[in-house]
Amino acid sequence: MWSGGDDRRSDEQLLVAAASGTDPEAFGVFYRRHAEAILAYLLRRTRRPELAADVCAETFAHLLGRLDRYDPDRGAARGWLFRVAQNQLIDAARRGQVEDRARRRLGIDPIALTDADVEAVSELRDRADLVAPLLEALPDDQREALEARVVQERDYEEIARTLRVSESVVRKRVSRGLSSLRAQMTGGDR
Amino acid sequence: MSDFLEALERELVAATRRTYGAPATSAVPSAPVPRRLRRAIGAARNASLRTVVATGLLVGVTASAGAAGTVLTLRGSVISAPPKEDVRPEQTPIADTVRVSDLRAADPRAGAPPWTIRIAKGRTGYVCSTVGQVQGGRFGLVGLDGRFRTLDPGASDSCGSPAAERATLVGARVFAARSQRGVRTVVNGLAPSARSVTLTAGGRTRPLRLDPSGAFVAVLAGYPEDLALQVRLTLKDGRVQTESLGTGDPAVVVDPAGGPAWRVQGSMLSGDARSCVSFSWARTAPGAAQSPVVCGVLRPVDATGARRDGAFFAVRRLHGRADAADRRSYARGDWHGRPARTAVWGQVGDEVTSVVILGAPGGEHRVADPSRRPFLAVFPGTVDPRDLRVRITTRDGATTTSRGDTNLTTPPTP
Repeated sequence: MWSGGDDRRSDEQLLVAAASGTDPEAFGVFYRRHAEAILAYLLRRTRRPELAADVCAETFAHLLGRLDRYDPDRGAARGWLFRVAQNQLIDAARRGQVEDRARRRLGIDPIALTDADVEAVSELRDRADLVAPLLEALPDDQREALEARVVQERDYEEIARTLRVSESVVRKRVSRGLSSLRAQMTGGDR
Repeated sequence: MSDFLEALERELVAATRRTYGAPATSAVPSAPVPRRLRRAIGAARNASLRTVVATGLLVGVTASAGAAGTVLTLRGSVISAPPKEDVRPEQTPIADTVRVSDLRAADPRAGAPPWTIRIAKGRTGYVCSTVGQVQGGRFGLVGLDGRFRTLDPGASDSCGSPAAERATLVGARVFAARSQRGVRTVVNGLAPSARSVTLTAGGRTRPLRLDPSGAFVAVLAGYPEDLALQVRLTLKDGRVQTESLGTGDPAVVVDPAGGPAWRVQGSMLSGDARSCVSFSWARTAPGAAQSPVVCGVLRPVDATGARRDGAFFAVRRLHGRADAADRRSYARGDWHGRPARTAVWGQVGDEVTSVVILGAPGGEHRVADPSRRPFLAVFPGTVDPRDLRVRITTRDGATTTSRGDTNLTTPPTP
């Protein structure tokens, strides 16, 4: 399992430690904690390992470049990370290529993707594939709310703000989405 | 996880250090800290102990029960053993069998505590070893913050089944550092059946002392793949056991002048028919020499495209620094002013059985197992690329010999 290891600090504490210059490795811990989840998410969206890896790299670089703008009061760091990934993906689709501005700005050299890397990233697709068809079968509003709450771990208030609906509507969509998923997994009716 | 993810982590941490400043290593002024973060940062700085992460990685163990790299989060004065539920019984040392060898290997940095090996019996009869340093009679490690901390007797690097006919444990443990200069590789092993041991590193061979239990230890600056490590054990019955450490990856090539090892990589950046190959230091680091990306097309020979034929490669001397225009193009590479090297790099198809480079000092240079993999050969910068010829042999026995860049196409824009 690839993860942030034994470090018990919260994501927010890690980003603060990295931004303050007291502990640059803290960003590495944050990265290890979330890189696979981000990759799996991007892989599910793109179905292409090399594209997912490229967007993943730009996502973390973008976040790193904006650490000084991070406000812990405005929501969980994981939610921020997923929002950045989502935006990067939309931008890439719009432009027809993955942006590398953040990586250039930070002086991060291009990292080529080897065949072994592609294979390793593709393995994440198998995990994503377990849930993806179930999520895809949900109505758009439920899937969106469920992804934001369960995958991205964003709080209800923040999701409500993003989706421009009330918090109670978000709760209802998440609840219905979970019920539908449960029903699909157990073969019951929705 | 994949090399890509690990390389990206190193790049991100290095970029964090450059951007936000690390007091110990960064010459770049820290970025201004926004007001909304100051309160939280203040709290972090006022914490009683700074968190320091030291990483060790076991790169080679023979006949062992398996061994894991260790990540230690150092907060207190003792580096504790991992939780019992995370450790298999065969890798759990019995506390009252723990013994620190009287071997002492001096650290390359004057004044640093010497290195040694700790031996213990495992709960299932295995023998366990741990490398560490000795200070004031205590066994432990110096962390990245310069503090020495005792290693809990319940911690072990690796355990293996005691074997009379060969070495039980032979490995190299890498200790990360904030700079390349501080990286240490600790070669160690347990070979009760050995009569003598020699270590070859960077082309030089030296004998290692064996303690009465057959333990040995040596410490070197740098990473194993840079040093082309080889441990040669002469056993009591006259047989010889040889272990190469850090040289098993065919994509990694030792530098001819003892510099950082090189790693050749095939790229999949375009999604079209082109295959692309480049090389850089085996360990990603800021300012690492980066070759240009060279591309070519390997022809599919069946409908699935799983088998491909053909060859493409570059033969060039690499030196100097990229100018501003080159820096905007990832494909042009940047040698970053590192010492010049002459290199041959590219890729061949499935039908190729051998790639031999002729005209290099020391005679023919044969590329190991080149089929359908990116390949690389690196020579000193004094070698004129015009003197080199590349001889390719295919399954049907046909041989072609070429000079200079061959069959290259334009690299794609990622």
